[in-house]
Amino acid sequence: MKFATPPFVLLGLSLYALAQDPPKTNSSQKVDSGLLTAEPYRYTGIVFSEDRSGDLFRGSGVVASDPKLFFTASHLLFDDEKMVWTLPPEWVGGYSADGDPGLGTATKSRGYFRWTGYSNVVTEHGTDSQGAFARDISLAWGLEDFITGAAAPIDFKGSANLKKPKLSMITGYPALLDYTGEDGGFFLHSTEPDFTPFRPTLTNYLYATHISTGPGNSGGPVWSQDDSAQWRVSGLLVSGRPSEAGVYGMTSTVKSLLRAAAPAIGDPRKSVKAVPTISTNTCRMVMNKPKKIPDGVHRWTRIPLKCLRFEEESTVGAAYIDLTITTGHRGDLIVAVLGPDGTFAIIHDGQGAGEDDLVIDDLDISEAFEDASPVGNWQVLVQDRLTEDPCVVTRLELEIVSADKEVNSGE
Amino acid sequence: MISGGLLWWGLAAGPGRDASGEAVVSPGENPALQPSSRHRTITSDWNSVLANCDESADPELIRRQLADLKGEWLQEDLHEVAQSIGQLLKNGQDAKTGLRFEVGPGGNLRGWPTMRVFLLDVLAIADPDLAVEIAREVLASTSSAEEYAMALKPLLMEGPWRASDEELQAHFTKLLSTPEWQTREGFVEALDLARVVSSPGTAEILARWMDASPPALVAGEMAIHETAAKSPGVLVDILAKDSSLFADQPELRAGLMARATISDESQAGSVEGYLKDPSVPLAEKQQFLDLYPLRSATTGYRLYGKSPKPFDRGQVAADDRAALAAVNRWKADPAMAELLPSMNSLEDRLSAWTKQSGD
Repeated sequence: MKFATPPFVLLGLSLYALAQDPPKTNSSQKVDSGLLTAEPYRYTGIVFSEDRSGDLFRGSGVVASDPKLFFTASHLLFDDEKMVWTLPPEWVGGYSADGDPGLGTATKSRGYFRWTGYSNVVTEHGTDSQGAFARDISLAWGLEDFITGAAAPIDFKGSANLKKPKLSMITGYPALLDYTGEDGGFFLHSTEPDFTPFRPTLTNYLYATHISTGPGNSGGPVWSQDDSAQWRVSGLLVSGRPSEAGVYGMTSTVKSLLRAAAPAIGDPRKSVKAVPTISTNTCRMVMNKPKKIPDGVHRWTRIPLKCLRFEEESTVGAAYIDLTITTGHRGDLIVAVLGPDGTFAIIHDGQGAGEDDLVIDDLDISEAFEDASPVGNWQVLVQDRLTEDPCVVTRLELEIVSADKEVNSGE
Repeated sequence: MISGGLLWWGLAAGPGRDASGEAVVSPGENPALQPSSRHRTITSDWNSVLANCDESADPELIRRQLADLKGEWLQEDLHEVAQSIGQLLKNGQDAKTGLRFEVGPGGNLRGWPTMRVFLLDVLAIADPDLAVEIAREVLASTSSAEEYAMALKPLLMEGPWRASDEELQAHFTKLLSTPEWQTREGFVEALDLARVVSSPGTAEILARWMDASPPALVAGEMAIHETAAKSPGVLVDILAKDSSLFADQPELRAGLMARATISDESQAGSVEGYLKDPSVPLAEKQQFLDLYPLRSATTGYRLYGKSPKPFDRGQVAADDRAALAAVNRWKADPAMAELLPSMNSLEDRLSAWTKQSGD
């Protein structure tokens, strides 16, 4: 354990304390080349980006969730103040040497996604603000794998877990070691596994003192171990000083970045149910008797369904619906799903014109309810907006999978 | 279509009727009727949070109260809840909450800067028909950018509530031409309308506004790039028709043109026209070639629709192949000789990408 000496000890033993060594900074050290193909080192790579003037920048990145995706720090790719796009970054993995690997060995990404909201653009100023660091993450995507084999798993509660005294370390490619002033070359480096908890500043931007890397390590992964001692990506290094590391802590927001990239990498897995039908992290709610919908009334008919299986702080990881409404004219129907916290999505908006019976089988509505609370009363809302085609909901099943136990593919 | 019109909003004509023939009456309008207990509860809840706002309570406390209230109200009879909300909006009472206008997953609000914004948010779910009627009143009269942004939401909902493109263009024009809103969070969040609608009309309105370099230019660039990423043909067509557009913002114009999908014949023609246009500076054409085909994008939680995910692998790969064929033609064209170095770099990138896709 590495913690600062408590103040009362310093007060009582001031002279003696002055004669002692200061707290040791956990500074990045070279990783033995024999470990380059071992977990978790094999997921870390050098990231090169080029600006409009042709100047080359280097940083670090991590292949996570899918072999065709790598995360890196946005400030390597994007100038916040100017909204200027640059060429997609290039990846060099499995490398550790003094000399520049050169772009000839790099794998080109095809593009990248930057997570941002409109209000962030208005309220945050400059690339050095804490607000900017709190969203300093980009996801590069490619047309081929960046590494051989599975990608690193992501800890979607990384921001919370890094604040606990869990074993963590940072890997990457610092060009210069901040604390010692040594040249990092293009060697893969790592801090020592350490129990120092990170402290929050703004949302998911965290920092820790006495942990040090260096320029070029930006975008490098912050690893933490889960209960089975597996290393997972819990954050991304985005800033640093000689004895301090600032990180972007992973949250379920990252899933939205992954969803944006899924069709680009042509990954059908994201739309396939990957969990067993019955499990402790699944809540299946079934309507127990048919529900007649008033004909031609422009009000919602509510079909309540209750889910009490999960803990209060759970969030939705996935959601699926099965539904049959008998009718002579499905174009009359509007169907929506309303979550316990007010998250709302229309799943049928009058399509189908004169066709009869609306039948929905295993429709994935996860995207609309990701991060929503699953605990409490769910509702399916139906309107039959035109008269003379009475309709009845004869079948309704809503399945919710909590995010806490959701399998992260990483493969 | 049978309208569920409610005549009491803004008028004094007496009770309206919905498609079932049932009278819909605001308790406040007809002294002969007593307010229902549900309406009393809703009003009491509202007044309680309003009082907390007036007493400058901790915004995070107010956030939790409003989130709880939204959850509770949406478990009630939604028609009654909507009626009560309509009455509260009509009363005109409001208060600042101290919260930012914050959009969460699925466009669900996580932060309501004022109490009226909260009411508009809940109403859009509880009764979209009433929400649309009230929205049009708000759009015509409000001085709040945040209320304006929320009022657009039911008009952008899928289904029978979706307003026509013409109406949306009119509302969008008004938004962009209100100078005092341009640094407001509601204003910038409402720029998402351009992407969601993606019509030539709304895109042109956005482009013309940006051409004048407004204060909210950075937010506008995000909006126009997200629109172009989703519907490149719309922006490319606008730029092709008016070579003066963004002449003073060459990086922006080059970036937007770089989103073209050249496998579409019309866009291919526009791109070639752009590269041969003598009024476009050489440096800008080189910037275009340095970026093209741009398949990077911003994404995040958006007020009016799902998070952007504009690229499909198959489309990207097909377009890369078409672009490679086009570059070979351009390299052989004497009219583009000055662009040869940039075209060589582009050809290298496209060769790598088409090999990677293996299609």
